[in-house]
Amino acid sequence: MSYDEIPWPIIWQAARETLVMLGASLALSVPIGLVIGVLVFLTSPGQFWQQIWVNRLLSLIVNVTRSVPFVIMMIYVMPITRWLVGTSIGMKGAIPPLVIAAAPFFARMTEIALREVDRGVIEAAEAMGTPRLLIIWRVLLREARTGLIAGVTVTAVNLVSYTAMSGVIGGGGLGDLAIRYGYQRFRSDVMLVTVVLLVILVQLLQSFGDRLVQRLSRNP
Amino acid sequence: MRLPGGVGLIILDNLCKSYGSGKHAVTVIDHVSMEVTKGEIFGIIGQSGAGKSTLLRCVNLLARPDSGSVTVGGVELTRLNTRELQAQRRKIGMIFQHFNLLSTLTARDNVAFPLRLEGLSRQEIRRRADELLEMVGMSAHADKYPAQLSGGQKQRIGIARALAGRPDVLLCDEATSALDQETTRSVLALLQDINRKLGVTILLVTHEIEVVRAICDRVAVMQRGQIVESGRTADLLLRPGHPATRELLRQTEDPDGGDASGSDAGGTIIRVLYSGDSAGKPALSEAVRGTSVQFVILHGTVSRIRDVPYGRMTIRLTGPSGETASVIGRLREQGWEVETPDVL
Repeated sequence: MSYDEIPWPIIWQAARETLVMLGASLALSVPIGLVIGVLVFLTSPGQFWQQIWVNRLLSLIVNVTRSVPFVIMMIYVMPITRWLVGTSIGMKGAIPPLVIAAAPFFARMTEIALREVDRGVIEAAEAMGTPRLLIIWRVLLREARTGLIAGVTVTAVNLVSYTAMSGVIGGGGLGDLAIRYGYQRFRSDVMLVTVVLLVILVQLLQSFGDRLVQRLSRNP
Repeated sequence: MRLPGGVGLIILDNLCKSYGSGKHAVTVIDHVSMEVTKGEIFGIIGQSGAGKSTLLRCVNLLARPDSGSVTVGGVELTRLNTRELQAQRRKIGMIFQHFNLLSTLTARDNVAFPLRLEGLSRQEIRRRADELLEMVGMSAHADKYPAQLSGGQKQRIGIARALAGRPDVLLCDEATSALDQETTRSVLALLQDINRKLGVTILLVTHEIEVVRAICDRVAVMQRGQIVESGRTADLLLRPGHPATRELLRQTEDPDGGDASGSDAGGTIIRVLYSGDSAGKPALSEAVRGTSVQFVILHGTVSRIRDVPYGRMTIRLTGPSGETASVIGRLREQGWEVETPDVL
């Protein structure tokens, strides 16, 4: 087994698939999770949209979705996937389950980040007569921004590992390649390359997120 | 002397509020009614847990009373819907013990926050914010973030922000409690300045009697959700009627009454209090003139609460008992309050 036998075009193709799945699902999970997270936070006791039952329901949905292993989730939501994108297989079919798994996760990260915002600052904004939507936008999300970015980073890293499982439904990507070539065809060189590429991807995501957090932090 | 005005700018009528429900319900505000007159600095003092911060929050309805009404500037806030209330709140400034500035905004942008709600142009916002920063002496720190400022500086930014909407009323929630003495003094001086120059009525809540003594025209004492006593600052501090007020005063009073040095030297030990007009007179020397009574001042304070001069002394009088009694009588004629050993 020599170096030049590595099927580079196939690897680059898989890398591209991973990036597309990651990008698309992250782009959808973040806004959806953000909205759910804000709602969970604001309906919790003591906040200005306090609604205990809405809060419990949302929280339950978030928890249930988060406790289903992704491999199973992917199969479970196939009807929804088909309804949403017209197919339940391939890269396109992988995106809905990725979003369904990652959005609740990011919602929880959002809620945690919002809890860190000083209650007094929200109170001050209320005392100034700030409309509630502006409190959410200019106070809550702004003050929580470093926590939110850290949450996006963790969600992205999670999504990378989820995409690896999308091979089950023919979603493609680096993880899928590692299983098909590295595991099923005993090509440990391909396995190594894909793993290295995944590690590099996660490293890049993490350090980019960390750097952004550092730059936006106002608490030395 | 009566305070000018007479029409309450802030009127709290029969407010009640409790937290929790059923058996665990805790009454925080128990049938409180009070008025704050336009232009004055009104203090609410009490131990922690007395309900004073909640009462203050009822003024702009950050805390909603269970019953009773709140009227500020002729508008009954308790009747307004959310949008109308938001509009009224812009005319009521508020500052906080922990400043509550946005950590992600610079000092200037914090001050600009309420201005942005008014839909002013960018240049106008900037101009107004800089003007406000100048007023609180923070121009040099405009581009710093709160984490780079000291407590006193943060409170100045908080004050500038609270004044951005040109409010008639400024609510201060323990505004100096997180500051050291020196900084407290300068922040209080700033508040007094704002009261005098801009005519902003100030309602403040504190547990520090020194804050009341320094700037309040009138004061109310709160205990267990009720206002137990209120009045002009000098009257209340010099002649406290309620045990809660005396307890608050005890925090700052010199613990030794000066009695120790005079206890076994014989004579009659009296405590006197004079204030206002009777403070300028040579009453003591007048009182002993023509008698053989001699006096020694064992302990005393001569000071001023707001614009009221006062003196409080412990005096030993030695001489025949008949003459001593007549000296005490003369002091009382001069308007001095005298506590004799019998009363003590």
